[in-house]
Amino acid sequence: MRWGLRLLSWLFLFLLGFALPASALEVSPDKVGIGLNFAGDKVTVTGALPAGCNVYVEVLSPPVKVPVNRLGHVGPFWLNKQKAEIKGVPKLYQVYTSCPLSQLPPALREELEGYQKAFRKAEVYDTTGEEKRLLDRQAALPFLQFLAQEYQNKGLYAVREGAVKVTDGHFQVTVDVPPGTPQGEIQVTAHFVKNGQVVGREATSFRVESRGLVRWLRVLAGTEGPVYGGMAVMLAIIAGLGVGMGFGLLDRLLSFGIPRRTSRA
Amino acid sequence: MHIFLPIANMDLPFLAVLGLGGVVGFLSGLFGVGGGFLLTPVLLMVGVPPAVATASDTNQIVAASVSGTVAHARSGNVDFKLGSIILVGGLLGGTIGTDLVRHLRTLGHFDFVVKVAYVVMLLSVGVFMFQESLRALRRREHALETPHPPKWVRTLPWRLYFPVSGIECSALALLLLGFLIGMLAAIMGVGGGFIMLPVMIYLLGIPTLKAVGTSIFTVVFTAINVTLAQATVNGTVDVVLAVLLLLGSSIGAQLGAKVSRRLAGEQLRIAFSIIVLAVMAKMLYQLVTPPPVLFAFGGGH
Repeated sequence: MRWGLRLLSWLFLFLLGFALPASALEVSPDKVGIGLNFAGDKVTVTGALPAGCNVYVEVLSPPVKVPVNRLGHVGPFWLNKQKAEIKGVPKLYQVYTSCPLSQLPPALREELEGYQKAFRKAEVYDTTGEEKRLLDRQAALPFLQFLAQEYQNKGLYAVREGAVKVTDGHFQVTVDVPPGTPQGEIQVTAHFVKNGQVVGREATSFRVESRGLVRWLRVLAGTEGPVYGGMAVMLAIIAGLGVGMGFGLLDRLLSFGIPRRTSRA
Repeated sequence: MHIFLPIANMDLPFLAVLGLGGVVGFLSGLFGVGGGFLLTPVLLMVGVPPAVATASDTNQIVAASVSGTVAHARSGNVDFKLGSIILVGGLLGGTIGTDLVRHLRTLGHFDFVVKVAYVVMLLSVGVFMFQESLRALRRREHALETPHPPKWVRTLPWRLYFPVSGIECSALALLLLGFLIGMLAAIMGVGGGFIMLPVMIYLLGIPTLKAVGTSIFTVVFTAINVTLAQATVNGTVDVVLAVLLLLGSSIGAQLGAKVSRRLAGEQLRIAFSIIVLAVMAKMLYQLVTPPPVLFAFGGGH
């Protein structure tokens, strides 16, 4: 009996093992380092595509808090009239598809319009007065639309139709990691679509993290503000004094000891 | 070649940032102003977040003003005694100004009041200086290099002699000037060089070049104070951006100071008034023209 159960378990694991690697997603590299020379990077996502399916790959970063001002008329002048804080919106949101958008489920197409899918958990607070006030969906929408447009201009938000290449039951896509990408775990989800329905999903992630001097400065600025500020001031004073004295020396060398002309005012 | 800015979380062309710092430093050395009025909008234009732009800008002003002070001190144009009294007033004004800002914000339309007041102030200072300098240039042979201070300023108490500037001046007037500059720095988020220079020249009767040198000396301390506060409270100083800017600006400040030594007081004043009027025109244009986008990232002053 015990041997029978073991045999069944092995058989189950064998079948599962056979099935899983075929559909598992892989990212390469799985870590993107941000150093002083970072000007964006690319990550390749590959996986197996179930027969007869299309795929769309969704790339999503952790949410960040963003302050946004709205301008308005005050008499004849244009000034900041409303201050807001946007929460729960990912700073990176990209969708790559293997097929035209028209072949995706209609509900998804609607959600991709204006990146509404990225704003599912969005909360917009009015911070103009003394107390924060949560704005309703209608009032929040213009702020979110502005954010989507700005992020799109920076390459952080994108929908790339037909960017996923499919060959021999496998797919591959190159994901952009622009300079403004926030640090942390970036979620990559492949959604398999057949006959206008999502029939399966696979998820993985890659990590974006700073390294070297960038990391040290970020940690110092975040945890030891006064030390960081002191260092910034010292660097500025040293640079100012250094250049000042350097020019003084240069002046003396060039004037060959001839006394300076006195100022006229 | 691009360089990544850790706090701004973006990359910028290395040489462009150095050049930008150089231009701002030149103005700083030439006129004894911080240069934030020029640099912050340019940084915003290239996509640096407002809070990071203002904080990092202040950090580079420290370098430009130190470099400018060294350059002007070499020519004997920094009145340290006079500048120190202004600084004491500035500290008091800054502290009270910070509380005042908190109070004004609760009354509403704070931004409106500040911007309109700024435009009116720049317009008045710019027009007055331009007219006066033009008159002085036209009658150069007969005119004095330095305008006479008004009578009421000469009657203020606590009079001290300042050998470097060659003037006798009321310590109370200097404290009041410092206080006003400190208040302006807190309320408007500007260094106050725009106001300091004309007040020093026209109200206190300090010779133009000494006023420029002493003004830039006081800017050092205002900028240090704001940089430390920004780094401690907001964590928005991008030291990489600031270092690039300050390398350019400290060299630019030296060149600016060199050029200023070759100019006569009236020429310096007229050039300064043109810049003040240009900044005013830009601000007014922004205030009355409908913006292309009704939203902007917040976080700056």
